Amino acid sequence: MTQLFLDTTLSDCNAYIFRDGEVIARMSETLGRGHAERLLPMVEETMAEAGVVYEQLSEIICVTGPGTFTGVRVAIAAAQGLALATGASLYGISVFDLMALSADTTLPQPLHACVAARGGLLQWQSFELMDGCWMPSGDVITMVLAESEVGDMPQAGTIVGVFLPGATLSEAEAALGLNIQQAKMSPDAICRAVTAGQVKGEAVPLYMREADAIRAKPVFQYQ
Amino acid sequence: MSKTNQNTNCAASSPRHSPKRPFVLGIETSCDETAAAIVSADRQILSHALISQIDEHIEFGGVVPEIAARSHITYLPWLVQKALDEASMDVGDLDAIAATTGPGLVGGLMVGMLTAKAMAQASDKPFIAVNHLEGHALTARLIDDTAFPFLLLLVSGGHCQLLEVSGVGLYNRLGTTIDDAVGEAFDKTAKLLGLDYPGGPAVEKAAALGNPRRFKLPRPLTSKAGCNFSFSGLKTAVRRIAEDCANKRGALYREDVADICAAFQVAVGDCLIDRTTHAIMQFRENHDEPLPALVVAGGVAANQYLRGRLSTLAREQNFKFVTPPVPLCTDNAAMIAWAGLERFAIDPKLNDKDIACRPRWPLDSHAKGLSGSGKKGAKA
Repeated sequence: MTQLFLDTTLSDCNAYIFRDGEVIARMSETLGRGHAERLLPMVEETMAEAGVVYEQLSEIICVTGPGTFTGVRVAIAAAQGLALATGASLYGISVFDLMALSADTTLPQPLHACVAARGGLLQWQSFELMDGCWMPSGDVITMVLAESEVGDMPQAGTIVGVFLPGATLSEAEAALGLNIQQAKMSPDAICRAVTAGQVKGEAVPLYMREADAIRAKPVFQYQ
Repeated sequence: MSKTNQNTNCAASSPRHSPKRPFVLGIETSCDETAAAIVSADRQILSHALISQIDEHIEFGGVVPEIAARSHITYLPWLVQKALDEASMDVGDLDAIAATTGPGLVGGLMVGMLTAKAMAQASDKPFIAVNHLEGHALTARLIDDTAFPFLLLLVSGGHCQLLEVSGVGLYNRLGTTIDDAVGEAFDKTAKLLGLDYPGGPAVEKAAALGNPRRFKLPRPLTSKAGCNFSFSGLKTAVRRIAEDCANKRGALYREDVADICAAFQVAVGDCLIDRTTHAIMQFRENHDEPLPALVVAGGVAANQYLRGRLSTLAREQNFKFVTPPVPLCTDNAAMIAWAGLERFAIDPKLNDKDIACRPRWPLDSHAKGLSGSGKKGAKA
């Protein structure tokens, strides 16, 4: 089985090729911006490095977020186009799952995988070890740190996280006793989990907040 | 995200005969319509699948870019597959894949462009970056085989321009708006008067019941030479009249709204006629065609009152009047596929895979920008 993995949700732009549980080619560039322009050329380069043609792809897996404003849609849009053209199956994987799959299984559990965004916005999902793998133990929780109390925060276990541009948590982190360790992504661990069919979600974007929109107010009283 | 109340419209014409290559898939995601269509070289729309997001934006009184971008990515793959299925094709049957690359809302453009580029890359087909305005401009050739050169009045929510069209990619701008687009003026008037979004159909419907002579509205720039438009003063005058009405009676009544809409629509009509008459004179100076076409395209061309007046003008001026059927006046993917096909037919080696989105992309990029107080310069 040959799989293409795409991720543009954070500052890195990633394209990996997996075959039968092995990472056979990987490209990763820290861009900050410009993922939309770089991703498809990177796919070409990675495919060439792996010696894989599009007809051989059986699955395309894209990271669905949460992530940057535009980044959450770049990999999904490209993956949708590739899937339409190749007939490969399309799946999504969340950033929470990526962090958990990549985390050391010897860490104190539960594992809380967090994404921090502008305005003190924090989302996390908790995971517990089952048969040697981190498995979700609850739904995704969203909160604004300034409106939260110590008791709202994950207490025991380990907190790993990623910080989106503009995320300023330091003061709130201190006040709430959070200690977020920067998450590290492991392509090998992701590959193993994806190959095992452990994570096969929908390729649908995950957003941290509602769209920024203001309802129209009537200018006059109408009769 | 709400996915309710979506309108799906498939406007594929039944193939009259075996379609001729090339076959081009077009994708449109520049504003609040998500659409995919396949057209053939012999002007057949083999399939057209479209979802309008109007119901998702209506409570906000206009298009919300972030909502539009979120919806495009949800609907697009389904619509592309639907367009392929309705044309009984798979991606391998296509000769090229085109997408709107600008002008428009960047979040939406990105979704359509990336999906199209990825499809093209994986199937080894050329990707064609289409200017949304060129899609509107060339629709006349999809429906009517209109010969070059022709005069184009492009009237939509984002644009209001008069252009000489001498060929694919050959545009000479005779005039443009110095402030609001005409469709924008309709939308803002509707919002002010408590009518639904989109404003064009709502104002037209209310105007049908109104007295256009009760209120006097200005006709900006009509005493001036040239072909430029201005609608912000008209919009301000509408606000003042509405405020007067509301102050006198404590509220804005339905008959006031109807009369204001009727006066507004006539004023817009007078402005379009005046400016287009100037453009016709300029066009005549530059071209010696016996019966050139006046093409009216864009969402505002769906307004029946304005169509009627422009049609009369064309007849009086010995121009052939060409305007697309209403579903092809508003944003659609058939026009994007057709514009892509026209460019592909001229240069079969064309591949725009390295082109990025252009949220601002004037059709006539050599046109001198407008400047000065209150003037935004060349829009698009």
